[in-house]
Order: sequence, then C-alpha cells, then structure tokens
Amino acid sequence: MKHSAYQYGFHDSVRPLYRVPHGLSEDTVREISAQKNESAWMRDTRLRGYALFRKKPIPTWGADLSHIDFDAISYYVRATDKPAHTWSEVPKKIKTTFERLGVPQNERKFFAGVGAQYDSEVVYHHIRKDLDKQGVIFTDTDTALKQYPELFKKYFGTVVPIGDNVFSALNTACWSGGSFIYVPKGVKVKLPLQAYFRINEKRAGQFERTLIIADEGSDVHYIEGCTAPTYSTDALHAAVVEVIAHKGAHVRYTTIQNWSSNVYNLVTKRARAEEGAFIEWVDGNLGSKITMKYPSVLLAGRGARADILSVALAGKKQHQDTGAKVIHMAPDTVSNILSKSVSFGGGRASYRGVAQVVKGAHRAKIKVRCDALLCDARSRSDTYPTIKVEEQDARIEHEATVSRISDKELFYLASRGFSETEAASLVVSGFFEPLAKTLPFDYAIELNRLIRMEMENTKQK
Amino acid sequence: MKTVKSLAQKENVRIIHITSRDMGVAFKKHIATQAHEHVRLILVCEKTAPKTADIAITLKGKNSSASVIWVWRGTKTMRSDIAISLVHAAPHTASSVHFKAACEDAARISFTALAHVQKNAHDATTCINAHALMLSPSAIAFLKPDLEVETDDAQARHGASAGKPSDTELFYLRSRGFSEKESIPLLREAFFHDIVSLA
Repeated sequence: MKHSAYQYGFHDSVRPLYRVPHGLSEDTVREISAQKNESAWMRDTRLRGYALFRKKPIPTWGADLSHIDFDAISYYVRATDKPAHTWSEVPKKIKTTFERLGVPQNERKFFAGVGAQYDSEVVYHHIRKDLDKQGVIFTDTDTALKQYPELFKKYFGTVVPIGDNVFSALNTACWSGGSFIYVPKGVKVKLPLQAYFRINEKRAGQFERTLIIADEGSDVHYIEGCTAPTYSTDALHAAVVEVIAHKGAHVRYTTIQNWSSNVYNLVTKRARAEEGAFIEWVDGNLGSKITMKYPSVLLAGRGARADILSVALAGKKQHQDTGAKVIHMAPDTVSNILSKSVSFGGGRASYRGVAQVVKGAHRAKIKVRCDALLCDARSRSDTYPTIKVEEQDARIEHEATVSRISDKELFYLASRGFSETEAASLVVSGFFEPLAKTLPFDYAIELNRLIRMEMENTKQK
Repeated sequence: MKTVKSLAQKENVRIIHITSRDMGVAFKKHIATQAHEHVRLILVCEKTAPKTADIAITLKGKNSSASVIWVWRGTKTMRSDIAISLVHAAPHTASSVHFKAACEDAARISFTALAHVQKNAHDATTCINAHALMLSPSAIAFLKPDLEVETDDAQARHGASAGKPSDTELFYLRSRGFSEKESIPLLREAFFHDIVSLA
C-alpha cells in the first residue's frame, strides 16, 4: 500500500536573486560574507569555522551520513533583498507559499512576533509594537549582527563553540538567517514568538543560526516550524541554536520539524541555564530523511532546571536519531527528559542521551524516561542512554521500554467501530499527547492530523 | 528435594558462578545458547575486580534464555570497565541483566550493556537493570544500558539509577540507635538483597 503524500512537497518557481555555485570552499565563505556586507570579525569567524569543518571527520556513530554530497549543495540562496515588515511587501509567490503553510493566519491568531525564512534569508519579520517598546528584540540574526554588534559578540559561539562538532563548524562558516531574540530583565512575553523555515531551491542548504538571550527574570516562548519541497535530490539543514537563560529566566523552545523526505536534518541545539533559570526544549520530529538532533542543557547555576520533551515519528526510509543531553554543573539542579518515538513502515527511531553530573553538582536530580512503539516487523527502535555520575549525593533514574501497540487497546477501539489503521492512529496520537498539550490549540489539531496522515496505509498485511 | 545439579540436568539449565578471583585482570566470557537451554551467570566482585570484563551471550537456540546477575562492591581504588552484550538471534528467547554496584572510597565503575534483538527473534523479551549506590564523595559511576530492537513483537526494557543511600532509610536506622558508620553496611546489604535472592 502506498505511503501517503507529504502535503508540503510543492515548490515555487521563484528565481533567486543570488545563488553561490555548488560546493564549499574558502572563496564561497568569503563570498557569503561579502554578500552580507559583514564586519571583518564575522568574516574571520566564518573562515575559522570553514577550516575546522575541513579538519573534522563526519561522525560514523548514529545515522548513515556517508551519502551526503557536500559538493552538490548550494550553500547560499537569496530570494529577496531584505526582510519585509508587512506581508504586502513580500514577493507574491513567496507570500503565497507562506499562506499555504498558514503562517500569516497564525500570526494574527497566536503570535506576538513572526519571522519567515525562505532558503537562506529571512523574507519577513514583524514584532508587536508593545513588545518593541518594552525593549524586546526579535529580529533575524543577520540584522542583529549589524544593529546590536556588542550584544551579538558577547553571546555568539559561547554555548556552541565553533569547533564543537563538524556541523557546528559548517554552520559557523556559512550560517545565514535564523532568529535573534533578546528579552530584557523582568519582561514576560505572554504570546509565543514564531519562526518558520522553508527550503525551496533544489540541493539547497539551510544553515540558520538562532540566538536567544533571556535576561534575569524574563520569560519567552519561541516556536519554529520547518518544511521543504520533495525533490529527488537531497537537501541539507545544519542549524545551530544557542539559548542563554540568565538568573531566574524561563525559556521554552518548541520545534515541529516536518521536513520532506530528502532532507538531512543535522542540528546542534544547546542552552545554558544560570541560577534559578528554567529551560524547556519541546522537540517534535516528524519529517526528514535523517535527523540527528540532541537538544542539550548545561545547568550551570544553582537551582537551575531543565525539561526536555523529544518526540519522533519514523516512517518509511526515515531514521530519527534524536534525544537529549543534560549536564549538571551546579548544586540543586533538576532535569527531566521524556522521549517518545514511534517507528512504522520500516522506519528507525533511536534515542541517544546523556545524563551527566560533574563534581560539585551536589544534590542533582535527573529523571529520564524513554518509550518507543514499534508498529510493524519492518521497523526498528534503539535506545542509547549514557549516565555519568561524579557526585555521591546526586540522584539519577532512567527507564526505557520498547514494545508494539497493545493488542488490548487495538481490540477496544476495533470493538467500537474503528478500523485497524484508524485505531493505530488514535493510539499513536494518544502516545504523543505530552507534545500536543504544549502547543497552541490549532497547532495541536494540526499535529494530530499530520500523525493520522503519516500513519495511513502503513499497516502491513 | 531436587538438587541444583539434578535440576540443571533435567531442565537443561547451566548455572555458572564466578568470583573476582576467577576473573583475573581481563575477564572474557562468550556463550552461545542452544535450543531450550537456560544459562545463568552469577558474578560477584568483592575486594578485587577485573579491570576489564567482556561478556557476550548469543541466544542462538529457540526458546533459550540467559540471565546475568552481577554484584560489584568497589572499595579503595578499585576500577572496572564492564561490557555485556546480549544478542537475540532466535525466536522465543529471553534475557536479563541485573547489575548492582556499591562504590566506596575512590572506586569507579563503568558499565555498558547492549541488548540487540534481531529481526527473526520473534517474541523475545529482554531486560537490563543497572544500579549504582554511591557511598563516597570520590566514587564515580558510568552506566550505559543500550537497546536495539528490530522486530515489533519483542518486549524490551531497561532501567538504571545512581544515588546515595536514602536519607529516610538512614534516619530510620539512626533513630534505632545505629551510628552512621554502622548503618552504611546495613543499607549496602539491603541494596544487594534483591539480586542476591535472584541468584
């Protein structure tokens, strides 16, 4: 039976204003920097990133990355000259795409600010006036580099250093777009800020760099969504996200990733929580060919807290290698990790996590729970947790289960008139309920709809 | 009353007891089970322990099972790097690992276990439990229980924990007149009690 169609697989016949030739070299990096009219500092940082990218090997643990052809990727594609601040200023075809994706409509209903990125650049950015007046900065990262250079330099690369891994080095070399958010002391942004990332060009790479700084006592929720057209050639998404939560701040970062099945999604996301800060990562992975992503939190201040919810749906020919990492570096820190994955139609879902307590992190508490559902005999599930404890009075618990959908649950639903596939979809939606309840209502409905679509026609006779 | 030996002979059960004296510095044990064979490996490390231990069990035979029960008590500067691999290569197989380590002084334990259920290992069940009791500020524990499951009708689970003796339990003993020095050995024995009774 056919796998259901990916509804975002359309593409636009938009001619880019500028595109670097395929492949990555030092000249390409210089060209990207020149196109953006950047300072010498950023150009030199990019070049250091490039040098490290060339030295570091591609990891062989995790998913199979051996088929990525780095020379076939285009590392910078620009569709417009500069970001618009109203939808009427956005070129028609691009605006139509985002309307099909529901972005402007959702901005009106749910969000305090929205950024929309199309290939390598942000094409639209807007923040509500009242937040602007309170000193909240929500702009694209390229603009932030120019308008707030001191603030930018203070934090850029401090949580994810250039040489952290091969893909953070690649991102440092050719980053473009992404969100920059600064929330001043004591300001609580009541409605979420949203960014939407869309790849349109064939064989494109998208390397957004997001930097969120929540000053003392502030509160912000950031949501991002991502989709791409379905091509027969591969695309690469290697983003870096750095979050800094100062004393007593609260940041929730939600991602619903629904890339098409030709996208390699290799992302480094890390947050640093200072004293009393609270970081939440809500990470939903529904799409892509291969995802390798492990949202992390460094609990660096006394009493810091982290909650990580990682959800993955691995269908036909997909490998979701996801998880979470928490490093406790200070006393009285607490973290919770909940990971849920569903594998069906031959898909593979792997949980990879680290729970570490370093010396001095007295009375640290960590709880990790991983649940995996296997829907058929063709699919696969793996769990690779790592627990490292260097303090006697820390308390760490980890548990994981892997099983198929309960026959009792299926029988109960079948006896109420649901078909086997409808019943399986309902069970999976219920399994993902912890993710759905963190989202705005319409998003939660959309998520359940997406899960249902993905689950259709997967039951193997 | 059946003796252990007669039980083993009748039901094809192989029970292997190994102490740290038998293990030496680098311990290796590879076992492949036949159909309907049940293997139980009971290992005890006290006062000394191997620097490295590599146990690989392949459940090749249908309806076979294996269980590993390991008590590791680390004192002074004892260090062990333990790796256990359980491969389910046939249907209706079962495996379990119960590992408990009590780390005193500057002891360090590194424990990794992988349970791999292959595609044809229908109706397999596997369970890995790894727990570390930290009895000193200088002790270090590294636990890594991995699962790889390639069939949807297997049941796999694992659990791991690390922590010091419960304050509640310590208080209970102190309130009954035991000093802290006397309480710790009691709590350590209680920690090991459930897997010792499995053995």
